[in-house]
Amino acid sequence: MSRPRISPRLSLLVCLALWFCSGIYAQDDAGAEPGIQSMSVLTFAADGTLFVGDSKAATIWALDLGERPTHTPSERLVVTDIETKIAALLGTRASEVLIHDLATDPVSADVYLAVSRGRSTWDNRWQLPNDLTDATLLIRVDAAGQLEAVELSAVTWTSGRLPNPVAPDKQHRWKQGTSLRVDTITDIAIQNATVYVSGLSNEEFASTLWKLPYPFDGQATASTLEIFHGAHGEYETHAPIRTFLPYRLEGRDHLLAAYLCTPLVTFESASLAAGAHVKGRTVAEFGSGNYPLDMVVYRNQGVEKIAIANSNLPLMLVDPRDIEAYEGSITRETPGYTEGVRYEIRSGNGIQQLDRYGDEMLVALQRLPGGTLDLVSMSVRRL
Amino acid sequence: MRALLLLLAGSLFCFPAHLGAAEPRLETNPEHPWFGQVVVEPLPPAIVRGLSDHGPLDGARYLVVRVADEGGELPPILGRTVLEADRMRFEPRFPLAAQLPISMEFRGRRLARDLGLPGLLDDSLRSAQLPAAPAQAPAQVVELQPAEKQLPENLLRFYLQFSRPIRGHDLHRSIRLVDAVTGSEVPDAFVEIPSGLWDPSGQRLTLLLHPGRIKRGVGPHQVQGPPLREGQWYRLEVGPGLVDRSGRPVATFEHRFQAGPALRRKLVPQQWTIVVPRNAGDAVTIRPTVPVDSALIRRSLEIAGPQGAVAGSLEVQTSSQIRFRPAAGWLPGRYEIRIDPGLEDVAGNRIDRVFDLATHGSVGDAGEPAGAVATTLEFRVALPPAD
Repeated sequence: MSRPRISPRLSLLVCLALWFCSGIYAQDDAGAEPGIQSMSVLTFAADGTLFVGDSKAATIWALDLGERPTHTPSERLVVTDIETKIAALLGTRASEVLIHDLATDPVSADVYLAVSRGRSTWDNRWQLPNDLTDATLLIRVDAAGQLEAVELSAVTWTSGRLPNPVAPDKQHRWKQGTSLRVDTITDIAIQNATVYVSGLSNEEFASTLWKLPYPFDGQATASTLEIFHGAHGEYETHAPIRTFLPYRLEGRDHLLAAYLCTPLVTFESASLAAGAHVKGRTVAEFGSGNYPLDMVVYRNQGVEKIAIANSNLPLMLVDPRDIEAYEGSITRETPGYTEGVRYEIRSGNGIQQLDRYGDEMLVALQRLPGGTLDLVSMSVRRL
Repeated sequence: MRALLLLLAGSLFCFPAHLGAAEPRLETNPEHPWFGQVVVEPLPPAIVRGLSDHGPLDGARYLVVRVADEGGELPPILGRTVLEADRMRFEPRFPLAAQLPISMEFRGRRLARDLGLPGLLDDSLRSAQLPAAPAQAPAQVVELQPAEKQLPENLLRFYLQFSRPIRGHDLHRSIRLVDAVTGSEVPDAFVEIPSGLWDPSGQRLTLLLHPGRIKRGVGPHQVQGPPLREGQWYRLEVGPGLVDRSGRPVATFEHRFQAGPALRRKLVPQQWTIVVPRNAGDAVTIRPTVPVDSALIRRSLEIAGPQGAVAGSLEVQTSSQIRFRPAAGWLPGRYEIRIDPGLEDVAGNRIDRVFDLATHGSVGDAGEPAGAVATTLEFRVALPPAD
């Protein structure tokens, strides 16, 4: 690709101007490694572009992983005690290894993991990996279960910066010593050339949903979010979405979002306008004392379902038709912590990460009763 | 002919020495003993020459360092292998963990073969263990405020400053208020907050004495009475069980003090003593008439001088003695000490109101709040004439 020649000084001025204008983007810096500070969230687009949400830098990095063979997984993937194998790469013990996120490449079906050496500092049942330390290593697991580190110097990339991220000096209200900055980006989804990003901004109503056009050549917009949380019996604007996905309900695009203590909320995508304060419709309360960790859509024999992995509850299956059929909105305190759209449970305690693995399987990181963390695929037919 | 024989003899003599010498071994950096790297040395001169003639080689083909395991199936440790003079060095990408057992495999035969010098090197497999992490002094309490030997019986807070971040679990099993005479714990002395009230660094803990027991006329005070009683001696104890963020035990600590008369008057900064600096580099010393809250005072004092706000450092020596030293020295002239109305003494009394307003009987000077305005004290700096 040929590029017009621009003087270095002008380039610098333009870059600085772009950097300070909120929501405009730094472009591919040919040959330079992306300056990722924290791999908080990993998500693949359908074309195989890897999006890395970097809470510390308040930046979305889009990594082009290059040409690679297409692979449709047909065999089960099982990597037992993956923390010991990662520890071997890092020159440490399994007790130090912390996996922050997992995403499956839709092209190669390789599984990518964001990794750090911070698990031994875990001391609070409410801490999530990003609360402890920053993931700085990307590991690829191939279909044969072989692990290798991804050399970021070899990838080309672009990036988009989030305007007005939560300030690093703001502290979490009840997690000792945790900066809210770690929740600048809690999840990412890509749909219709738009990158949706959930997390915390520096607004008074901190829970925010950003939209960035992709490729990163336009203005990012932000909407602040408000929900009613039945288990707590109150409106909430500070807690961020923990996991979400775009889904079409009743012929209109929505975001389905789950929060801590597990309310499930729908937001109509069209309402997420620049600067809008958007109120979600709470359609379910799935139980208190729980982080919803990942939400994945899958299709089993032609029927779509949504699987939700949880920190303290089993694997849940939700039928989107039940969400469409639910006409109400939870606006009063929920006795017993559960209400609204029903869910089924499946064997899947201890699933810490979940994603699709081809069309016929899901892939999970699951902490087993023996204590090991295994990377395992599971057939959707068994769900 | 004789020369040829000598050369042959020399080769026979030296060859085994080369084969035996180039072995991998663990080298630890004395400044960071837990950080290890693996070296193979000395490489025979012919190999070194061969390497420099050959151009870049993939070092990972010849030196493989792994975490030792019985199955031998673990992937090699991430890192890079570099050639330095007569040695090959493996540098791990991340510091190796303390006491980690590793295996070091030098594939000398392959290297010699790839360089066209077969037989000049042998394979070698060695194991080693990283040294233990250097012993670190346990985390400890480095400051307690207020630290006076006599504290008012309606004291509201203690601040414990630790040398390292502390894990905030089950604090109240380890931190106790004890009757110094009987040795028995004062029950329900503190507001029990499961993970504690910490500053962002995780090093300063605020212990809040139960305000409901201190405030007269409310239920807990009437049922249990105040946690401290005038005239009695107490110990604030940081006992076993507290650990730092790495899980290492915190050194025990205790502070003995006597409960004195309650403080139930508004703060009157106009009665405070100000020791005026005599030289440009001296601190101004402020001595409140009652011990003030050591955390609040740090953000409640502002010094302004002839050229506006004065930058400098504030040192809370005790709750009753605060020193401020200007960063750039004093200029002769009039200065103001501005005191924010949010300042409290150690019993929660402010300039504009008393924490514990009695509901009956005499209220002294408690009265109604006077409104939140800053109080200003003045002092004048007159520096000695320059030589």
